[in-house]
Amino acid sequence: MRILIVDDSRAMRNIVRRRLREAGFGDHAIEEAGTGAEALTQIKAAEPDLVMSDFNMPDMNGLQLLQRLRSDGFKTKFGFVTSEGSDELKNAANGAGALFVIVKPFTPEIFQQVLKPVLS
Amino acid sequence: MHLESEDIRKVAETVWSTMLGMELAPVEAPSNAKDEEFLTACVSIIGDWEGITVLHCSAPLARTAASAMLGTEEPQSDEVRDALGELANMTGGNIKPLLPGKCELSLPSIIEGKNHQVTMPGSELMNHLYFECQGQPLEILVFRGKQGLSRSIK
Repeated sequence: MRILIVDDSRAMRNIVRRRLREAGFGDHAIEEAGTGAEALTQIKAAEPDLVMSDFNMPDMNGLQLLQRLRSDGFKTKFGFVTSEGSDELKNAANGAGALFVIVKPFTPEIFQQVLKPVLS
Repeated sequence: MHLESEDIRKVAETVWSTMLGMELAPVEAPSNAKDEEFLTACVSIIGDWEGITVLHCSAPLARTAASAMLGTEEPQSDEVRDALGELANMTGGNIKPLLPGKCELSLPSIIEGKNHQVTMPGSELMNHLYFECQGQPLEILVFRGKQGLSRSIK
């Protein structure tokens, strides 16, 4: 499967990539985008199987990215990996069609538990 | 609204150990000497409660943290700033649930240099924690703003 990691922090994209490997998902093809706009372009060019996106990013945040994808007809599996763990965000994320919200900091075990049903 | 320093200590220790595999040791007083280079990362919390979470970290510790996050031995300056900003983001993000009402996080701001301070005019310093990590100093500060947010660098 192809997984797109979206985060304005390169350090965080690297940690997400590493956690995917540690959780046993290292065989999947992993791509990265540094902004919501960049992710939108990449997804429209070649839709991945899963998007794992930060929430708080400049210009287009993760929720706006998800809403834009859905309004443009994309049903791409989408989840958040974010420091924003409020109930408000989780409700908004679920309402927009996100499959999960993983709150930072996170362990490989959390990735395993949350992503196994998504990536199976 | 009073934030317990113990809760902030647990947040900081969890973030650094979970994401970096690095242990923070609480210490009583700052160990940094003058004229050493530090990086300061600030994340604002805005909403029903307003304030700023600040990470003040020696440059060597910031580089070590960036190295751990990126998996590189010699991170570039922008990578170090990025890594510290993310640590501030995670610290602020995990302090936010301890606060009343609805709040949002800002994107992090990074300051670097020697002998600088971050102050928040019209605010109250609520918590100031000191740590050491691999022999290097780290401070975490939480300011509560009285009305609106502004900050200055001295």
